[in-house]
Amino acid sequence: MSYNDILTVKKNKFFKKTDLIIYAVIILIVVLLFVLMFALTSVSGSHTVHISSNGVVVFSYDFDTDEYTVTVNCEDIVSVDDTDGLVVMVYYKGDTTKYNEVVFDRESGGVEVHDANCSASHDCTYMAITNYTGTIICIPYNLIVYMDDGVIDSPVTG
Amino acid sequence: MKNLKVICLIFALIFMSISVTACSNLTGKLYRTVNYFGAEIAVAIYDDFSSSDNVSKFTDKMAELDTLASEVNASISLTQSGSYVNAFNDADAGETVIIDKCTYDVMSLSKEYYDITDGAFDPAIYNLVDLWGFSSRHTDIDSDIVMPYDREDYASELPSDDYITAFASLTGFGDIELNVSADGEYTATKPDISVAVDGISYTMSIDLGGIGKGYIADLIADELIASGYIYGYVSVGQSSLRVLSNSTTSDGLWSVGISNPADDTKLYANIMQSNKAIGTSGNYYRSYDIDGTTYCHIIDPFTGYPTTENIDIATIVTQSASMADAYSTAVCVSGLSGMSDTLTESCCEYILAKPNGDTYDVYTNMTEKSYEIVQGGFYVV
Repeated sequence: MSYNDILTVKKNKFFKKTDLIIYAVIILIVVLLFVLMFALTSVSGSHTVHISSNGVVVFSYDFDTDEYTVTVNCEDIVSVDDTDGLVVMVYYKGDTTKYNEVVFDRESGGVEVHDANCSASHDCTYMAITNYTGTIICIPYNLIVYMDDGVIDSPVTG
Repeated sequence: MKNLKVICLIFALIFMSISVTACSNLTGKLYRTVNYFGAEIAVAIYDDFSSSDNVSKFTDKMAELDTLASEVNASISLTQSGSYVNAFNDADAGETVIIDKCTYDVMSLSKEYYDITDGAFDPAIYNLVDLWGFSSRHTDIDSDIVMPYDREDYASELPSDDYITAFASLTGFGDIELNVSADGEYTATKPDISVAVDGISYTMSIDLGGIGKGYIADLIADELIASGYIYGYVSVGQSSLRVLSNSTTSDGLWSVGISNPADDTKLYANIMQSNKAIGTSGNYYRSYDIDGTTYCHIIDPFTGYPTTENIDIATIVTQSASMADAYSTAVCVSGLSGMSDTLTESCCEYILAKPNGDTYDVYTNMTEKSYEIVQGGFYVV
């Protein structure tokens, strides 16, 4: 092969150095976009907390929009006082003598059961949701306070 | 050569655009779940709930569906005094009772599935269900002895053959006559058959619970679809499901877990489904053992005894939840061989587990991509 032939082959090479750089940049952009979009998706999950009483979601509060919802037909079970901070009274099966007092801290993303007469030990008052994380469970009154992480659990049949 | 480079560049840009578009579909998709109707009906929907208008629209829809479900319950539930089903059961042999459109629709569907399954799905077994101790009044621990055939301890004493034979002769849902008059009045006529045991006369009694959950799941899912919701699912007591699409998976499939009959806190399989109805029946759910024999809550209408097909759990996948309910019950009664033609003709998928010693044999017609066994001791045969 003559020197001219080698030059011709080099000249006609499909991928020149600059081409490869362009393709590498494109691939890098695609990878970065993937990472960016997944990161944005995870942080855009909701900061909603639900209160479930006796197996039914009776109250929901969205820290992001500062909106709360009392589930339809659950007005006898839930009483909301928003005059001096958000305080929710949950009455077991609508019986006002059996209560959990749930207090929300809008600033820190916290929830705690401030008072309850569910048992002598009041275990639920020692649990808390802090910085949008955690779960509160009151076994005697079948109360669960939990964060909504934005993902629907897969259904189960059986 | 230059053209080739341009083509490569265009493909790269297209790939990049598709990647970005695929990701952006996920942003802003949050969800709300609502449990109502006791704790039995769960509706989970993905939508853009960052919009307060969409939240209001969904909340309003849920309130509407709550009313709808309550109305269905009031019509067909045995535990609701004044329901049309109770009115039918209280009627004399040969008597015609007025029913509402909902009850008529559920009874019509039941007749259809009774015919298709050759009587294996038969809601006219309520006398037998009550006799064997599986009716709702027996769920109370301290249920009183009310009927002449009630027993102190159902887990140690079998019903008498006289009652089993008598009540088995009162089955046959296909014998009920349903009519709609010219002025829109719906009626059901009870078969003119009665039997007497210990001096007391009994007539046909029906229980639409075997199809009612599926009927409600269909109603709610169809309403949600008509309102524009395409992502989510409706679960009624877990035994009746309607899955829509899943916005968090690229193929829209949900991974639906099936309870392990040996331990219902675990799953034995996952099935991948989208825009389908799923119904599950099983022996394991309620049963008792006497002298080494298991008596389950699914009654064989032909013999009057709990089914002996030994299918611990049967899951049917089809287009309608009421059909899935009826067919899953029929499979437990007639066995897979007795229902195979019907399942094939109706384009149903199935997966079921039968105990085999300490393990389970799993029978399915699903493709390998459509299911996964997730529990040891379950073997596909």
